[in-house]
Amino acid sequence: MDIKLWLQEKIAEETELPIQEITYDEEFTSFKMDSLSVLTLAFDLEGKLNIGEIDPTVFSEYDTINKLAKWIEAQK
Amino acid sequence: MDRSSEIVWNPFTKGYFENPYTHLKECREKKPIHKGAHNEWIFFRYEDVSKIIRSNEFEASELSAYFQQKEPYIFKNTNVCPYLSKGTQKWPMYLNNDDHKNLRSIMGRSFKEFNLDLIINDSINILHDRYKDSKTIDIVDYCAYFIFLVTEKLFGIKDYESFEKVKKYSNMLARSQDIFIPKQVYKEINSWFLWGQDIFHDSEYKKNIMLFADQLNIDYTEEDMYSIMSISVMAAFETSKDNLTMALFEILKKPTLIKYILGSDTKSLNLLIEELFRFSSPLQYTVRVNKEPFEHKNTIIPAGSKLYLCLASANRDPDIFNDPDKIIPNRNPNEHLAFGGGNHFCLGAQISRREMRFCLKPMINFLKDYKIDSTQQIKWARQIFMRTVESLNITK
Repeated sequence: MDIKLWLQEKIAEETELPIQEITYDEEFTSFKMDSLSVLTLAFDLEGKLNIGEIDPTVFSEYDTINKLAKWIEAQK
Repeated sequence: MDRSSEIVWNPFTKGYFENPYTHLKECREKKPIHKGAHNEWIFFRYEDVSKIIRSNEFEASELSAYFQQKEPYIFKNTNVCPYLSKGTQKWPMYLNNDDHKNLRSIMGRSFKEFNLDLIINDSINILHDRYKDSKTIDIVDYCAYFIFLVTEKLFGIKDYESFEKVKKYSNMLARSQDIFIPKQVYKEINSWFLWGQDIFHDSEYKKNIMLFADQLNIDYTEEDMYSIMSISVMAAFETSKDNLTMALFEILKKPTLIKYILGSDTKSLNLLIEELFRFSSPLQYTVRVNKEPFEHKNTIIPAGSKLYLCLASANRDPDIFNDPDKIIPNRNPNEHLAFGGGNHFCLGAQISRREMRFCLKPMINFLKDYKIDSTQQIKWARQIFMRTVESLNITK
């Protein structure tokens, strides 16, 4: 599954926002994700990608789906 | 721009879990007070940590209230009974004012009723009988089993409860107070809280708690009592196990320390024990909340901010401790902050000291011929507030 789609679905699930509101270039903070939901996403992402432990501060630096997807690509 | 001003505390810095002290030193030297990624303020210097921890201007942060707020999110779309908030509702380190003062007094008096020395000695004998033919010993298990034997007798854990389960229970409860915990792990912690509801006998300790509470006209509910029992076990088990494991690890690496212990008198042994507490700091951070806004170098820290006091960094501050990264067995004075300070000073400090005073010599005598396999990768847990080794083998 495309990682961007996967992130979009996960964020929609965490925030209970309609999936079409989770756009790829909008900052995670605008979806009202608090630190606990970011950690929860990081934990799921570790399981999915199998790239070891993810530093949750990555989400502050790569703070949109597009930016994060690029970061994920670079880890492979 | 000066790069030194850019450092931000991040426990996910590469290698942090194996050795947090390199990163902490950098933070302490370059930016000893600063704001972290989640709006927390972190303090690294001994002087600042010691001042805040002892001041009445700051309160403990309230863990149970945090869980109450987060439980609807954590357990959304599940039919699990949320127990994080209830389970932690009487953990004294997160209470303030009279609730805190009364519970401290009740728990402190309840502990004093025991013949701890006898319990510790019996536990060492049982422990060494279990390991007498072992060629390889996992020190973490060895320490955990010893502490399990002590806590089992203290708190009346039912005989059929296995060591492995109680060890896991204690660890999961400890993780409930860590930071950067995702909801998946909170759910697991919750299931251990629920599991533990049935593990306690009507022990002397429990009776003492009820008796002393009654004397203060306090009526604890069943849920309060379980919360008190759970923190008693976790506090007695987890930090003691971590401290002892890290102490044995350091000692077995250094023949001079083995010799020092085996030839020590009470005073020299006590000095080393304090030094081991300082050096390993099993509780690496504690949290306070400022009641009023306060100013630091032209920055106002707003009231109600979370202040992370890094005990581990304070205990390695060269302004206070010469050669802070070395174990100096007879370091004196040694005003370390491993047990915190002020009115939240660790309630189990005296128990932990007595355990160490009674167990260290016989344990080193038993383990002195074992060697640490230097090729093995030591497995450190991914825990920030309470530093823990997951396994560490020694062989002879």
